[in-house]
Amino acid sequence: MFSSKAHPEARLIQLLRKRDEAAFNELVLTYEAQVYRLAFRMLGSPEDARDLCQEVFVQVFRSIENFRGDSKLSTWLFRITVNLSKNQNKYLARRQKKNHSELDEALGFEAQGASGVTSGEMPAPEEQAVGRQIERIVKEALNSLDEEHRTLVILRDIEGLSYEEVAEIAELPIGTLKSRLHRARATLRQKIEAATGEVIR
Amino acid sequence: MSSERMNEKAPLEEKEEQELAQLLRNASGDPPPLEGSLLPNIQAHIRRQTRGRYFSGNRRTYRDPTVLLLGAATLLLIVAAALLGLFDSLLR
Repeated sequence: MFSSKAHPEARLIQLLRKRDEAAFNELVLTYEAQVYRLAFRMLGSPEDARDLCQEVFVQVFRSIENFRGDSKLSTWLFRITVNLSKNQNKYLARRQKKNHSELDEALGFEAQGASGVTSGEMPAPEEQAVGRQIERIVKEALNSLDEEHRTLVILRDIEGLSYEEVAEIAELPIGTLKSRLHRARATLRQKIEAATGEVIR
Repeated sequence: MSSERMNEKAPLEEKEEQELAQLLRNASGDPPPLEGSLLPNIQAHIRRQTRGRYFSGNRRTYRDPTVLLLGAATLLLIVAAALLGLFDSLLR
């Protein structure tokens, strides 16, 4: 087993380029959860996220020579994840096979774990219902953004990556990234406020 | 807008951004956890795509094309030599 201390990233990349199976196993075990989570955010379905996650690592194994090493390995992995997810979404939109009921199920699952409860107190049923409604509104507002803006919001605001990382993944200059994020957030805020009738402050 | 006002606005915008981010995180929740590692499936994909060259363990199915070519060339040489020998003996 490799540890990040014993095998710094440069060494891991060197081994991956030699198609070292143990190094590849280590890469998968280290990053699969993060890649899966990002794929889920992009696609909205756990099954699709699992499939895409596998595809990402197969592509990494095939094309590790293309990794120039001018960004972190994780950034490169996330870029592949984002690009494959966008392709998948385009494919699904084109074929009109997006299964809405599956997405709703996923949202239902999330609602259980993400009802905004942070204290030990149980909110009243009405509060829970309102919380779920707000979550649905927020989720719908996010999904209504165009693909590029949605991706930037997911990477920066939901996944909490730094501006520099997001800029590298999206292959955008920092200034452009910030202005697009600003626009995306303004659109989101407008949509949420219009749906809830409240100002989010 | 004076620079003083701009300075006042910046932290407010930052606060609003953080609040929106929190709202998005709460609404998104976490995906259902992975049931076990995806590693065996990924290894199987690669094994299939590389025709057993990688992740085959002891069940190595990949054959180096160079070895196959060498084998074929040797077989051809043997056949050619046998034919030559046959013609040679017939001509005598």
